[in-house]
Amino acid sequence: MISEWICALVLVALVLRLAARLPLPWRVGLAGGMLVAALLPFPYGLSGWVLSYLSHFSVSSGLLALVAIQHRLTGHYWLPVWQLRAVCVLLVVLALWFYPMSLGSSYVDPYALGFGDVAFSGVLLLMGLLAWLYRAYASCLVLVVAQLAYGANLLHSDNLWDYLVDPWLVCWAAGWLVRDRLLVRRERRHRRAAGEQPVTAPASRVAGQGS
Amino acid sequence: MKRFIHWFVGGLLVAAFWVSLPADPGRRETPAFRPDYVRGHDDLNGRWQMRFASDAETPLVHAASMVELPDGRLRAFWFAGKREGGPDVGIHSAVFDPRAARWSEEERVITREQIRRQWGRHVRKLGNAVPVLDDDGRMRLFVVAVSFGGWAASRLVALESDDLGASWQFDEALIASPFLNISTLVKTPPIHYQDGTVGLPVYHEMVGKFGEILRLDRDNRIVDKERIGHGRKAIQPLVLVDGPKQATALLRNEDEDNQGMLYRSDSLDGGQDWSPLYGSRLTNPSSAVGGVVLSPGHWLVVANCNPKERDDLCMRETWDSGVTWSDRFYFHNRHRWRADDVAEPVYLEMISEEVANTLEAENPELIRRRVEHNKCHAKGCEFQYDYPYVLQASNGDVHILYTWNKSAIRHAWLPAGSARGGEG
Repeated sequence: MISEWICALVLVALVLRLAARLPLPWRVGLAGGMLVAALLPFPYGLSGWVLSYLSHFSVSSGLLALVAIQHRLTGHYWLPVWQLRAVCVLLVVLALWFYPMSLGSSYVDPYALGFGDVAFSGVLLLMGLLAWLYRAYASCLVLVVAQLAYGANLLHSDNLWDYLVDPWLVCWAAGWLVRDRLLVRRERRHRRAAGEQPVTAPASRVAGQGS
Repeated sequence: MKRFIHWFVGGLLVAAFWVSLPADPGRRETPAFRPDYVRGHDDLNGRWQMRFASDAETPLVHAASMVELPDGRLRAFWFAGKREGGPDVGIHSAVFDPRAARWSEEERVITREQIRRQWGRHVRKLGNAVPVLDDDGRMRLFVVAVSFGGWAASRLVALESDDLGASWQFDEALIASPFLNISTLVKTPPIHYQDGTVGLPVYHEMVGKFGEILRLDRDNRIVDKERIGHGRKAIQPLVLVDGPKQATALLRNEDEDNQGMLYRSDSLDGGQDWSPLYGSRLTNPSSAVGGVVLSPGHWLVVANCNPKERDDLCMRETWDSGVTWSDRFYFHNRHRWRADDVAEPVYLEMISEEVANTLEAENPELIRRRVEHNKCHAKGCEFQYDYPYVLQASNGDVHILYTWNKSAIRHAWLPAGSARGGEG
């Protein structure tokens, strides 16, 4: 059932993104409607059908969907942009190595590490500690929740990777990075046109509010 | 407060690290196989008995597998329907009693609709099924299920039975791939480890074509996964366990540049590492292989024995762990008709002979019609004998099931200690 809930959150976040220009009451209504439609039992609910094709969403996707829903409904974005940017870069780089290897491009199978491996857990701890030193608590919490969910076997998967990443999360991260670059460029152009000094990174910008 | 949050998050990270450490001792320890050859029963100088396990009531049957029941009977499974991949395809089963030398009535034990309902996911078609019988009598069946697309989008679902395979309950879908969990299939017999886990040989055929062994505990949790081969070379690994640490995998060749033989890979550490694929000296036209270990180094392998077609089926034997092979027996050999399609009347005559050589064939005319429908077309007809599955029972009997012209599951049985060679 956790898989269905995560899928429902992703679907609600998607609907809210598409309905971003509607008034708040409409958005709340749509979100509620989508949640119910997603969680109806198979074959009536959307989650069962979506998961039939996509298999599952990671816990990270669920958490990110929660943050996106909160942002669309309250206007406040909980994740600092610099953190999100770093995570997206990490995800895309990781995916470029992880998916080809896991799908058979070599004898090395990184996916197998996810069935339980001390070194893999150690690397995750190091990454978490690095984020912790930089006070990137949101990233730390995503790692913590994904690992605790794995320990509790909350998804159907026995593999830690499936709690951390999924192909759709990687696609979203790649899309976010492209959009981020476009927004940075546009902001520089505007500043130049206004005769202001160019900035290297729009630190004050809030993700998702650029358009 | 900020300081508290900082250290609290740090503590959570350490706690999450401990939680994610492998809890299963099987994951931490070096695995060891549990060889299952039957000591003192590696004599093949007997007389093979041929029967049909299926009743030809369904137009198409394929991919048989079997398991020995605690009382010495065999339960076989195969998929059957109007056509391969059709919505009506289900898993059929029958039981062979060696004391009565008879197969039971064929039954449909699992349907697509049943898995769809119990899993809560769309299922478009069903495919290969491989059974495992646990020591406590519980039976597990791993079935290829497809939600969308072709076989390359397959997933594996596990079902359980408390009545030795007569009825089934969906347990869970195995997640064995990080990309939409697609392209995991099963065909060959499972192996066992000394810690009670089961090794399920699987293969992928979407982006890469390679084999793997999924190591499963009693609850169908994947404890470990080891890769056999990589790239787009070989599928359907048949794992022959020679000893607690030694095993060899023979794989169906899917390498477009290097066709005509089975691939091989070896492990000397209980399956943790497998050698790079190399040619096995066994000629084969990229078709499935079955086999069994009769005693250490003494293996029996059943497959198509030519580099082009599936119109023969032979049994090959090695006494030196596959260094040298000898052709032991041909169940079928239609190489004379390989060059062209065979004219329908001639073909059906030969099919009738094969049916006549099959003991207790119930409805020869229906079987003939099925073969005509499945294997004859405007230009002529083709022979097809493939997907062998081999098992040695605990009393030493050797059983082979294979798809006979896509129309029947044929059973070759060599009772242990029977006198003369040949087929009857």
